[in-house]
Amino acid sequence: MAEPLIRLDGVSVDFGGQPALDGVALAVMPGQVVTIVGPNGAGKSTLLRVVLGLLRPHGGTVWRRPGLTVGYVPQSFQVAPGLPMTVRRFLTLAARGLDEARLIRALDEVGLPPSLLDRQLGSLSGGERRRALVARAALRKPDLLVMDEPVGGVDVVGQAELYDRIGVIRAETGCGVLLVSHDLHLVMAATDHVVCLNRHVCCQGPPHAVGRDPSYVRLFGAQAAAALAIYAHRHDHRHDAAGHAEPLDGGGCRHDG
Amino acid sequence: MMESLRLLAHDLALSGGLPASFQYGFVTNAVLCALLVGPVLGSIGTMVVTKRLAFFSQAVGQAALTGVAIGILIGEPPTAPYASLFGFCVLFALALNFTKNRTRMSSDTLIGVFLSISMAIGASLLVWVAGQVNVHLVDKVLFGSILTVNDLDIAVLAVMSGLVGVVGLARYNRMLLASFNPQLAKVRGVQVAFLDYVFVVMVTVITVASVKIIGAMLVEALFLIPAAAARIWSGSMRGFFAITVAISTVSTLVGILAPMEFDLPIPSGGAIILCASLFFLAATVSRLFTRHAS
Repeated sequence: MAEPLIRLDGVSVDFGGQPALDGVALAVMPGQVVTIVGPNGAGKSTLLRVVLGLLRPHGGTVWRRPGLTVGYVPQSFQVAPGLPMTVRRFLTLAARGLDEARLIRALDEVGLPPSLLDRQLGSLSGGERRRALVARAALRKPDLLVMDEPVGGVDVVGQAELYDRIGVIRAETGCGVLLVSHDLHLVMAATDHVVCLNRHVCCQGPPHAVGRDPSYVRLFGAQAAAALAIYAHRHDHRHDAAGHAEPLDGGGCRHDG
Repeated sequence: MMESLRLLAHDLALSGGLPASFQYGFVTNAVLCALLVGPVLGSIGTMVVTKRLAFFSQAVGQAALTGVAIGILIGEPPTAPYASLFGFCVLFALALNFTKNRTRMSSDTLIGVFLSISMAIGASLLVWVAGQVNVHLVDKVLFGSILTVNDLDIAVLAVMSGLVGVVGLARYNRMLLASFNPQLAKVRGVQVAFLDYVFVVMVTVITVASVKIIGAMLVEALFLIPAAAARIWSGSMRGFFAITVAISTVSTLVGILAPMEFDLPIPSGGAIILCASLFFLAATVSRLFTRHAS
């Protein structure tokens, strides 16, 4: 068994007494795509910040493989309007010694044309910018690619394509991928392992089983569950109004929190 | 070294290799200062504008006023109170940055508060101590006075320029990345918080070193205006940097030399910034017309 790229055990984070994460365990293996899903306020971004080393957890342990290179695609990326910065210059900020051919290949991997290199970063559409961010992260030859809502602002057709491209990058480089997403439907199809988060890990497993779990209807709404319908699991607890887990003594999972 | 430079310029002026005004030592001094201040403030300015720190640099510039007042109060020479200037301004900038990192207040509010406090202290002290020294000192501090620049001032400026140039250029790309997305930069291994402090200190020391030439009220404008004008004209980061440095250097040279040549009784700081403003005006107008045409 290969050693994981990163492993979290019992990670807890408090914000002013409010638990944001409670005893979360998570591991990403080389070549594995792990997706974190969960409702708003479930602690997805907080968990990502712990993984990235931007936030020190108040409890638990974080282990990174020594020398781990991380490529990160942030959720939001602001460019000052009017700042003269070409896509080429932006991409070369990723790492040292990148030649033109490498940049063009990186753009091609995310479905962008070479002509984009001379465009102003600020003039890109939301979708183009997301792709450029993925290209930048991939240029770092990461062992682990961490993406926060990587397809935000990308149209539906483009989303599926971008996930395919991420799959190709994974296959070519053998990197592990950790995704956070609301886009359950598309993510599920492109992922190996799903972690359902609501301040703690509700459940996790491979998204292979087809079926409708009542918990998804409650956690993500009927439409999302209907669209998804490819990942089945059972909850053994419910959430109270504060989001704390309580054991369930039978029946399905009720996420009222 | 300075003396031999001035002698050289003097000889060249006599033999017609340089304009006649270079016979005077202070003209050579002034040109040297301009050639230091222009490029350094311009290049830092590109980052000030990119990081949206215009208001911050204004606060630091005006903190220099308080620094001068404190210096006179504790008995430093009124024309070169460098210990108080550097001491107060660096402390002011570090305290501001520290507080900004640790409160949820928006940075413009916080800078406004810090600026007001420092101005209140500075104005009160300055009026108080101005009685003890020459009253004209006040407008020299506020708006710069190239004629009073001496070898010590040039040495301070040269050392600070060198320091800032070496430290800043080596970290330019990392600062650039951090200005787009701090988290992205952190994951890339950039020490964002530390770099912020480095930059704040860079802005502060070069501001202080330039106060003698441009004055406390206007020094921050030379961070801002050349970069703002260049941004309109440039299509790449390299062009942005080059045009900013060019505008800044030309403005400083013209602003210092023109009042001497034409015997105008205006302070060097005002002339420098007015000259830079002409570039900004030209850039804005040219952009208006190209927009209209397309």
